[in-house]
This record gives sequence, structure tokens and C-alpha cells, in this order.
Amino acid sequence: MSTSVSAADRSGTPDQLPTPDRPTPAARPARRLSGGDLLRRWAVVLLWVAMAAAFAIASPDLFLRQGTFNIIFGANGQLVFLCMAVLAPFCVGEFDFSVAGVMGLTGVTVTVLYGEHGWSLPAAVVTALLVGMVAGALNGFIVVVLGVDPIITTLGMATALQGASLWASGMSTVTGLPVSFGNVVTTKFLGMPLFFWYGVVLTLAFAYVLHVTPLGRHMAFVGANREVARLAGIRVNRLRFGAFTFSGTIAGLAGVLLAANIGGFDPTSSGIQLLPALAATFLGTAILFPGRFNPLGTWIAVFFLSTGIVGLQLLGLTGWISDVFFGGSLVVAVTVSTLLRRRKTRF
Amino acid sequence: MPSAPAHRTSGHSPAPVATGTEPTLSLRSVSKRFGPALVLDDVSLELHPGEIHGLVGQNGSGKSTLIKLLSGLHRADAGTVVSRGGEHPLPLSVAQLDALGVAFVHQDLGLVESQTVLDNVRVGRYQRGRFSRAVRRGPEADAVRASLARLRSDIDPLALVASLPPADRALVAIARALQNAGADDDGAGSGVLVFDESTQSLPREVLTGFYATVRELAAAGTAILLVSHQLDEVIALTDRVTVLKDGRVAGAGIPTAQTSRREITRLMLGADADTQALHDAVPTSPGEDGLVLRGVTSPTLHGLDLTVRAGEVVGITGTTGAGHDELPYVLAGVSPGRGAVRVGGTEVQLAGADPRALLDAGVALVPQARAHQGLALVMTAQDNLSLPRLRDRSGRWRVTNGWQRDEFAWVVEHLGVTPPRGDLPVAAFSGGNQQKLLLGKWLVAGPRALVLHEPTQAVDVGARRDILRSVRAAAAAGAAVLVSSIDNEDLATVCDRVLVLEGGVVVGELTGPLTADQVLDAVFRTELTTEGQPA
Amino acid sequence: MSARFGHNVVVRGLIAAACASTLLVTAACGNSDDGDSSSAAGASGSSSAAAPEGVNPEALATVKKNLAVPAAFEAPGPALENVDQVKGKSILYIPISLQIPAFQQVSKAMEEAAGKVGMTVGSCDGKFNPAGVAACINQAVQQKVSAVVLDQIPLGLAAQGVDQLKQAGIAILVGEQEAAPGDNKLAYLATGGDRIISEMADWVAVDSKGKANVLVVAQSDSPQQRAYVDEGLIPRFKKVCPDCKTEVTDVSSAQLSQLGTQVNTLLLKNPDIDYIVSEFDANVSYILQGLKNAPNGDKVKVVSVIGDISSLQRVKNGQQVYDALGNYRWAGWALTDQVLRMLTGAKVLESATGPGRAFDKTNIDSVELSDASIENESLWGGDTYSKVYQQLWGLN
Repeated sequence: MSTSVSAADRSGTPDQLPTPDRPTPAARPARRLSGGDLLRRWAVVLLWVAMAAAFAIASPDLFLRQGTFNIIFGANGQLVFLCMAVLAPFCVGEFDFSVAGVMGLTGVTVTVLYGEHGWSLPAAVVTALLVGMVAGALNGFIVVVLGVDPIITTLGMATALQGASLWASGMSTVTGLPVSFGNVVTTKFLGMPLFFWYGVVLTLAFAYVLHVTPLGRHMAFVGANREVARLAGIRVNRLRFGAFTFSGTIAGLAGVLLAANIGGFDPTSSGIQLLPALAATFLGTAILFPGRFNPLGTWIAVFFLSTGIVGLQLLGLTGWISDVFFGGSLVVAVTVSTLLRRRKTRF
Repeated sequence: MPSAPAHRTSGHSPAPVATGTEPTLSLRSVSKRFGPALVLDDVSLELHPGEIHGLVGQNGSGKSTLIKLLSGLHRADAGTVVSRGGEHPLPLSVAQLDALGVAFVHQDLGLVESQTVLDNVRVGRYQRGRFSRAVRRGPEADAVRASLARLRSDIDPLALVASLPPADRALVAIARALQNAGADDDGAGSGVLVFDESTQSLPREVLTGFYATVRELAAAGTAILLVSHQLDEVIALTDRVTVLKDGRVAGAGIPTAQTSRREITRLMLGADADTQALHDAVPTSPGEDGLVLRGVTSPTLHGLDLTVRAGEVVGITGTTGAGHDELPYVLAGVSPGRGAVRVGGTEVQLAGADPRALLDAGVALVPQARAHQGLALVMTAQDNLSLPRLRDRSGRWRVTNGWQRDEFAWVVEHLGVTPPRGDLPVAAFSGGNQQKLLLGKWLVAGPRALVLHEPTQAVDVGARRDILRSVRAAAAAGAAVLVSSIDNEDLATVCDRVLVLEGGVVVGELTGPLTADQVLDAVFRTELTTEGQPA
Repeated sequence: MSARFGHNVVVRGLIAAACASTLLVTAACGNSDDGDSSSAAGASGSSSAAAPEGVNPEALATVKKNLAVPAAFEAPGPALENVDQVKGKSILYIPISLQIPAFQQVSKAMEEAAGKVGMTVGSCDGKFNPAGVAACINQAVQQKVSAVVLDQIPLGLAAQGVDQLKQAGIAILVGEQEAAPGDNKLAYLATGGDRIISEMADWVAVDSKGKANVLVVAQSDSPQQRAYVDEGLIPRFKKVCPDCKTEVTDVSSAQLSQLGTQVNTLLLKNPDIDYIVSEFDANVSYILQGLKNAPNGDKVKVVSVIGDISSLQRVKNGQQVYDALGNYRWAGWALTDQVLRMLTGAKVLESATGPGRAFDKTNIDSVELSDASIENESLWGGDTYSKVYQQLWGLN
């Protein structure tokens, strides 16, 4: 190769370097909330209040009753659990669509072990919870270690688990759990069944972990950018695996508690719980922490949707309208939240 | 080193640049702005009939933007195209491009593998039956066969592209483009054919044939614009070269015979930028060994030994494939490798190590891929900054805030991040400020070993100075700093020593003070000495 | 395999309808109109022989009959002649879906029954859609079978196919819906499944002494399912319990997850409700889940039919107060009998009644609650029908 051009030696002339202590504007305190921010965070909650007010006006004698309150907040015990189970993988950028399947399997397991095989109740409960944990860990192994797509894996797992619970139950509803076991979830505390309070405790604990602890921050970074998290020394795969295992365990717990609630389990009833759980979880991303999967927002979303359904039912509107409400409110809420956020980043 | 022909193939005599003839196509004063960034600034380019014209420049220099403006993908802010006696404002419509005979062969060739050669070549231009509206496949196949024959190829028009070897695929893509480039039936072209990094997707062994095809096309009168970052290819193939740097023409239509690879590199990387060494402004005092590598081996590194003393800035550089660009990731445990890394008193075996182990030893890595590996763009600046130290500084149960604010304030003060707002997502900051955040994320902890890869890529001049200065400052504070870069300016500016890698081992060492040209010379000197040896 | 039904969410409504009509048998023997209180005295009933104040005597008799072990099976019609001629002929059994164990049971029973007279039975899965049914009908035409049994397939789904079958000279037996007269080419066989639903009214009338406040949960996936309620259950309430108040709410299988709150809000609106009558047992677990949280859910009695062993377990546990179920194996024999009547030119039946039985707390302890009880038919007092049919067919 010809190197015919001789580059003139350039000796650099001294230049002004940036002064080490040039005055800079003081770093502003982080996270100051503007009015717009507040609106974005609380829009769905306001909508919730407005909706409740509308129902109260439309049907004051029915809606404004203790009983209505009980129905709205007491009827979704397992849904809150399922939402939290879905949420954990979402937070680390994964998907788990098998939570309802896990719930079905553990619900059947605890009932069959106790009712048909004569196990002691604690042994049956512990075994069922282990089944849930193992199912979650299996998801984690396939997705994290083997590197298979999580959507395909968990959808397949959901179907397989549904089949397993049909097999374990002999393809029909299983019953036989003692009423005393039901008290674990049905006993009233401050007018609400314990199932509701368990959901509250779980949500608050999850929210604490996610928003307050380093673990939660790490999860958020793994969800936002896995490689950045890895380079920062976070054990990314351990967190992903852990999220799946947690998901399975919580879904398993939901199954056990649901079985306790009704004294048995219908293995085919679990599948239809997945979509409401997903709907609430996605709707939750429009609440409190817009754009982020978050437990408190999800909890609000569960009861936002529940309020709508119950309110419509009280007005005598059942059937198709509840589907329209469910799907419509999800799309509208998430759309509004997305648009608000887009305006925010375009400052 | 790529095995592209390093010397002109005999038999190809460069077409004399017909200064007297009318250019086939001229781009005049093209400018383009993306938001605040001026990516093309008054760029002009002339393509003559029968000429192979190279267009080179670094990533971000604006060459791909220029092609996208010409092909109508982007809308130019200013500029016109002069061709065939007419002046047309940009952007050109597809019909105008057709009329002017401008055609493109893109990087990935743009072929649909599951379809036949015929369909790939003729899609959008089928002759249809007058009433049936069905494609007349017989005449179509004949036409495609004929145009492939002009490229000296006998590919079956009805074969599936997926079944073709790579060389034939390139020919199919060229055949398709030639329909637009106004090649007449006798093969004499009157149009313009743009190869946009087309050789990227071709295996080395078919390049010779590809080059021959390109030369024949030029000999038939087609004007050819070859966009490439393979300088060997540009040197070997083109008649003239236009160099872009930072959106401006750094060298316009330089006759290839009168320049060299080294000179083109100098133009691309810029000799006019601020080359002032920081040695005097931020003196360092190298002490004992800070970062010691022993037998580091990876796909491109072969038993590399290297020592950086505490308080010393060492640069590593080399040509493509030399291994300098992989070293930062291997020694930080991010990419797989073997060998030992000793930082201070801690030695880590790389085999099976993860980033955590190296972090604990005191290695901080500032990767090149800022958005992919460096920062989570949707998270806030402060959260990104404090991420690596969350658990150590906060404890397990609660993230405390005070130290995070202090860290952010430190970065704002020492690197000049604007706006100084930790609550904004990283995506809201400019590229230069993002790079400062990325650097600050590691500097704030005072690492024992700081490893950087292309630390100033795609940042503006002001941010570049702040960043390089901070790198020196980190060394002055006692860190062993290793900078991997192909930017000879950067290396000359910050390094106490520069190591040149070739084939995965150190083949040259320069000791400061340095100039950018000395670094450049060293890189190409080693290239010349190793040329022809088996890899 | 047990005669339970397996169901998934999507299909459960259809299944429920399917089981309600053809496959299940009323607990009552034939017409309940002629029963009086004394004729039911032998049953293991809960009530005394004399109807208490407010209780409709007809309802009381029906309930007693339903709760009792079914009487020995009686021949549904005259004996057949020339059964020999069917030897070597074949039947294709086309249920709406073969995925459902109940239909598999029927198929198996038909094979067994037809085997006795030297016929073969094939089966083809209708796959819950018209295309699947059409494919099965094509198969029947190509295989040149002698008869086709369409089980729980609405004729509207197969109108064209029925024409095809007629042209091919294949006898069609529609096992579905209400009793209807037929001929040797196209016949129907109702096994009285609608009655098992409507006679829930009798039990509620007796249990509440004629003063029930009833919420009826109706499956609304098909018009047929609604008809069981509108044309069967509700008129029956009017007849045997004129003072009972009824309110109907619909549920479709797609919205079962909301059935719990739906029931709750209705209880909130009308706190007087003391009975919930569910058309199909498959919905009961959702209702029970809702009741856990209802204002006065523990005072509400849940009545349902067409269940399985686990439903009976609920009756035993007291979560549910009444269930009734029929015998699938018998249904296979009954369909085979009707096919033989068509093929031998005998007069076809309109309906047939086989072993079925209702359970409440008074008789639930008299049976063993296990899958074996269904398999050995001890729930219904054992197999008393297969010998009767064989005699009708001239076999020993």
C-alpha cells in the first residue's frame, strides 16, 4: 500500500482545558412532582371515584350499602394473588401466563391429597405449595437456563398444568376440604374476609420490596435493560429465575386459599382467571407509577374493575356489557396513560 | 485483516477522471438536521460516467444519511440533485429516481429469500397480460435471463433465492438495480448505481468476482457510488474518494491513486480537532501495578499479557479484528474468555467469572454501546448512576436517598451534566450528557481499574473534552485506566502509553507524549509488517 | 372411566345442554301426574306420607319417587321381530363432541348393546362445529352405514347433511331435545332430560313448604338451554308451587368468572332469596364461591342437577342441598334399541325413561360416594335394563 502522503507532525498548541471547578447549577432534588404528574398518577383513581359516584347516583339505595362494599372488595381474593404472581415476572421483563394453571393444579392437589388420599391437612397444604413453587421454578429453568421464549414456555406450561390438574382430579370438581380450613380465609376481620386482608398484606409487601429495597430497584433495572443490570454486577439470571419461582409460589398459594374458600376445587375454573389478572396488571401500569408494573396500581386496578362489574350488575346490566367494560376500560386507561406520558417525554 | 485486494488488480486501469465531461449526477449543498444536531452540512458530490466513486466516513459521519436522502427515505432540509440537464430539489420521488436512472444495492441486498429470482428482480415492474392482468411469466423470465447474462451469469430465473450461493444473490440484487440504473440492452449504462455497504453481507471469497462485476459495470458507462467502511476495498476499487466527517466533506473527490489508506483514515478521524494532550493539565504519577492481565484469551485475543500501573492511562488500539475492541469486555467478565486479571491484590480467573466478580475486584467497565449496555434509558439519571452500589450503600432492606443525591451532585460538578436533574429519565439527556452519566456512574465510586471502550464516540467536542479530562482525573486519583479506542486523537490526548494490538497480542508500544499521527503511524506500520502472514 | 363429565370453560355450556337432554334420565318414572302420596310410601323419603300444610301433593310424590332407588326397568315398548336382519350392519354414532367422557360412555354402551345383535358401532367426533359434523356425515355416507345417531347435534347445524343421509337411504336417529314422533327414516328419542331440570321445582316446593324465594341461574349459551328454564322449570314452579317467587338470571360460559358477584348483587337486591336453583351443576362452584361473600349467603340453599360424584359429595357436606343424575350406559342401550326399531320396521318410540335418581340429605348416606358407584350403577340400584332390552330384541 502506498503511503505517499507524509503527514506533517502536528505539535499541539496548549489549549484551554475545562476548569476543574467550573460553577455548575446545583443538582436539583430528584422527584419533584408537578400537577401534571399527579394527574397522570391518579387519573384512574379519580375515574374510579367518579364511576362509584355515578353508580351511587344511578342506584343510591343499592350501591351505597355495606353489602355492595363487601361484594366489591371481598369477591376477588384469589385475583389479587394471581395479579401479584403475574407481576413479578413482568417486573424483570419476563412473562408468565401459567399462573392460573399453577393455581388450578395446587387447588386440586391440596383437595385431592386431603380428601381422596387421606393426607393430613398441613402435609397436603405444604405439598401443594411445593407443587406451585416447582412449577414456577420449572418455568424459570426453561426460560432462564435453557433460554426459551417465556411467552411460549408459559403458555404451553399453562395448558400442560391444566391437563395435569384435570388428571389429578379425575376431570371433575373435587371437594372434601373441612369447613374449619375454610375459616382460614372466610373469617371476617373488620367486616372483610381474611382472604381480602391476605391480598392487602401481599400487595403491600410486594410494593415495599419493589419500591423501597435495593432488590426492587435491581428488578426494575433487569426489566428495563438486562445488559445494563448485568454489567452493574446484578445477578440477572438469579433474579429472573427468582421471579418465576415467586410467581409459581404465589399462584400456588392462591390455589390453596381458593380451595379452602370453597371447600374444593373445579379444575376447569382456573383458566378463566388468567385474563382478568392480566387485565388488572396491565391496567395497573396506568396507575400511581405510569408506565411501570407496580403492585399498588395493580391492586387498585383489580377493585376498579370489580367496582365497574358489580355496579353494572346492580343496575341489572349483565352479560355482554361487562366484557365491553372490562376490555374497554383497559384499553382506554392504558391509552390515556401512554398519551400523557408521551407528552411528558416531549418536553 | 480482511483479505480484500490490497493492491489494484492488474488490467483495471483507472478511468481518467473526466473533468471535462458532464457529471451523471451531482448532489449540491445537501443539509440535514435531526432535532438540534446538524448531521449533514452543505455536502456536495459529483458522480461521472464510468467512474467508481468511494464514499467513506466514520459511524455518524453522515454517509448513510446522505444515501437515505438520495433514496428519498429522509427529507432533506436543503440541497438539489443535478442530472441530465435538470435540477431537482430533494427529496426525489421513486418515479424521479427511475427517470434519472438512480438505483441502490443495499447492505442486506434486500432480497426475499422465499421467492424466485424472477420475482425478486421484477416485483413492481411486471408486464401484465392486457386483460387477464396475470403476470406474463414467459417473457418475464426471458428478460431476467438476459439481464443476468449481461452480468455473465446463468442463474435460473425460476430458482428460489434461498437456494442460491451468496455470490449469485449479489448478482440478483445488482440485476434488479440495473433495471433502474438505465442499463440499455447493449449493457451500456447511463445511470447511477449506489452500493450501500453491499459487501457487508458477502463472504470474502466471492468479493473478487463482485469487484470484477462492479468494474465491468463502470466500464460500460454507469456511474457507481461505493459506500463502504472497508478502506482496503475503497482503495482497491475506486477512482476517486469523498470523505465525510461530522456531516461535512473532509475530502472531496480525491483521486484514489494520489492518496493512501492512512491519509483517508486521517481525514475520516479528523486532524483538525483539538488534539491538545491533557498530560500537563492533569498530571498523573504512575505507581505500582494496578491492573495486570496474564494470558487473556478469547476469540480474538491470544494469551495477552498487559500491565497498567495505578495512576497510569494506557491506550490499546489496532485494526479491525486485532482484539483491542474485545479486551474491555473480556477483562470485565462480560464476554467469555480465559486468563487471569489481577487488580491490586485481588486476582480473578476469567474462566467462569461473571461481571460481579470483576466488579468486586475493583474493575469498572464503560462500554461502547451506551443504550444497550451502559444505561437503562427509561430509568432516571440518578437511579442509573447509583445502580452498582445500591446494596452496599443502602443495606438490604431500604434504599436510602442521601448518598444517591450526593453521588449525582458529584457527577454534575465534575463532569458538567446538563440539565442537572436526577429525576429525569436518561433518554431525556443529549448523547454527550448520557455519556457523562455513564462515565460518572463508575467514576463516582473511585474504581481501582477503569476500563473504557470508545469513550467519546458520537459525542460533541465540548463533552469530549470533559470526558477525557475526567478519565485523566480518575488516573490522577490513583486508578489504573485502560482505554480501548480506534480514535487516535483520543488516545494521544489521554494516554501515557499506547499499546498496538495485532492478532490478539501486543505488537507495538508507544510512550507519551504522543501525537495522533504517531498513533496512526504505529497502527499502520504494524499492519504493513504483518501483512501477508497467516492469521 | 367414570361417567363424570370433563369440561373446559369454552365448552361447558354445550356440554351441560348435551347432558341435560339425551343422556340423562328423569328421576321420575314416566309421568309424575299419576303419582299420589301413597304410591310413594315405600321410598326412603324424608316426608311423611301425608302432604304437610302448603306442600303440593304432586310435588311430594315426585320427590319421593325421585329420591327412591329406581324401580326395576320396564320395557319401553313392544318387542321387536326379525332382529336377525340387522346382523352385520353398522351404525355411526356422531355426538357433538367425543372429547366429553359422557359421550364416550354412550358410545361404549352402544357398542356393547349393538354387539349383542351382531351390529358394529363406529363413532365420529362432531368437534363442536358444523364442519366437524359435516365431515362425520360424509364419513357415514361413504361407509354406507345403515343408521346414524346424531347426539345433541341441533338439526340446524346439519340440515344439509340430513338431506344427504336421507338420499343415501341411511336412517337417522336424533338423540336430542323433546319427544317427537318419527318414522323409520328419521326418528327422535327423548330421554326426558328436561324433566330432571324442571323437577327441581318439586323438591323446592316440598322443602320450602310452598313458600320459596328462588333465584334461577340459567345457562344462556344456546336457546335450548334457556328453553329448559322458560318452558320447563318456571311453568313447573307455577304448577307445583304457586306461591313461590322466581327470578331468573342468565350466565354464559364466557362469563362464569363473574357469576359469583352476579349472584351476590342479586342477593343484595333481593335479600329474601333463600334458594338458588342452578340449571347445571357445573356452575355450582362459582355460585358457592360467590355465596361465601354474600350478605346472607349461608342461609341460601343451592339446588342443582346433572352433577357427578363430587356434586354428591357437596350434598353430603351440606354445601348443596339437592342433585340428580342419570345413567349414561343406559342411554347407549336406549339409543341402540331405537335404532333397531327403525331398522326392523317396528314403530319407533318418542321417548324412553331409564334409571335416574335424585339425592338430598335424606338419602345421600344410603349410597357409597365413589366412582365405583357410577361404574357398577349402584347409585341407581344396579343394571336392570340390559336384560330387558335383550329380551325385547329376542335374545336370551
